[in-house]
Amino acid sequence: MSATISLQRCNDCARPQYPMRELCGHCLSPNISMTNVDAHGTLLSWTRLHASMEPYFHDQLPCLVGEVRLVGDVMIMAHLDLAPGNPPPQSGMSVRLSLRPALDDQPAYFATPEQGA
Amino acid sequence: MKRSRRPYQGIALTAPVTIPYVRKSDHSTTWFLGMALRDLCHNAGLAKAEIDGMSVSSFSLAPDTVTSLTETFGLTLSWIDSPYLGGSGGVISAMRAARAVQNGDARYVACLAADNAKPQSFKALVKNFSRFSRDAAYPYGAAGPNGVFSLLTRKYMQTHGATDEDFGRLCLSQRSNAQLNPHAMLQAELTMEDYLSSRPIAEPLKLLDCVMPCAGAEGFLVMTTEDARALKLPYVELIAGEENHNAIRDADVPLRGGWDLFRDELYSAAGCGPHDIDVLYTYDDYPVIVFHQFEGLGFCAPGEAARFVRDTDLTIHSTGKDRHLPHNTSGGQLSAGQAGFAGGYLGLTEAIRQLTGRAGARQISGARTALVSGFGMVNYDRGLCAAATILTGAES
Ligand SMILES: [Zn+2]
Repeated sequence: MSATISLQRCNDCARPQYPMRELCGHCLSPNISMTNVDAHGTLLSWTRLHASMEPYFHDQLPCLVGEVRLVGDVMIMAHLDLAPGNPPPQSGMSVRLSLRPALDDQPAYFATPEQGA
Repeated sequence: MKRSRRPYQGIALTAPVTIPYVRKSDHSTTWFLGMALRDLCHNAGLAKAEIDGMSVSSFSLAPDTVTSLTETFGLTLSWIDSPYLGGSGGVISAMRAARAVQNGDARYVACLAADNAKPQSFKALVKNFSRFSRDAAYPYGAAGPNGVFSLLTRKYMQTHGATDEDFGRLCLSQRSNAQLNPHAMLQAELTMEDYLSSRPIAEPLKLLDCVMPCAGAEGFLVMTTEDARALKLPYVELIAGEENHNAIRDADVPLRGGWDLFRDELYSAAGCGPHDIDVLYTYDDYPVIVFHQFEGLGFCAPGEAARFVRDTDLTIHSTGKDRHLPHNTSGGQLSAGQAGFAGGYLGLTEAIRQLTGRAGARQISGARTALVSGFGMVNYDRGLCAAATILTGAES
């Protein structure tokens, strides 16, 4: 499957980075552009939230959030997209990231477990 | 050649003050800082005009700054500092002030920390704590520190096999200590069942893994040991201090905070090791971070903190386990409450009281050497600032 997401990458040292910033966190080059990278990664840890400071989330509680590592050692926090009734997430499982509107209608990452992973 | 810090020499920490914590207050952070300064001067027998240095840690001081406070409090100073370092700010403020005194930049430095627990200021703080946090952490449930520390806690449990009960043992030990601290917000007896059945907040974190935000202030004075003796003040000596920032850069949810990377230098400067520490003060915003500190500071091997907590009496009074190491004897933030950045001062003020024999019902007899550590500043997915200092009681 060739799912990708768009991340910053340094034009000088070729490293991808996240969260976004105005220069390369490795070589400090200001020459950054967006590039498509493989959206598949590994779920490193996760939580089930029962409280939130934003009313937006209140009717979604409890909700699942985790941290995912992509190729290139990029670490991305994401909502976990698990249908109700599915088994709980497992750290180490393979997931695929995609963007969807969430808080304040801004695009946010959602991690979906890979089928058969 | 590896950098090495110059020794801390002849530096006294004295006159610890606590402005009692309250759940909510109509008073501003400035009021709490002013009350702490007033008590400091009173306890030390110093006129306000003799204070010539001030270090202030707070996240709710805006629109004022530490400079505003010189005018508000009617002070003329030769040195000011406003470390914005969260839970590492107490230890690092003491280190900065120690250098100022050692270098002659100031003679009497008032180190102060306060916050006033207004819910809106906390939400604003969390939402805009940093660019990374605002853009890449807050949108995922807006859980604040509970979210990040729940990820750290699950990672630790899965890697090392620690259980809820292991974290519970730590919380129970601190509650037991808090029962002897009249300033502690939470003093009711806590059972393991109470702990385990407290409501989930950000699994695996439960309500009783999370500190209670409150309003309050902490403070102490830094001066030379010579001046402290001249003023006849009971004092402790700061003999070693270390800090690092963004030291743990592994591309994984971290299992350590950075203390392991300076532990050897810290103990070497102090001329002692973990077994010489009589009382230990870790930064306890969440139990897992205390486990990281037990391991990083050499009290047990990596991954062994759960067993260490099972085998060690961390309470003021020993109950007969293999080892007795009084820890967070005020109850720590988990039971005394977290008055914002004053939480980073809690271990220092209590350590000064213990090593000068002024801890009242909590006194550990014969306590001579304390280690105080701090941890702070979650920029994205981990805390970035680790610090620790070793204090000794003066020869009498
Ligand atoms: Zn680069």
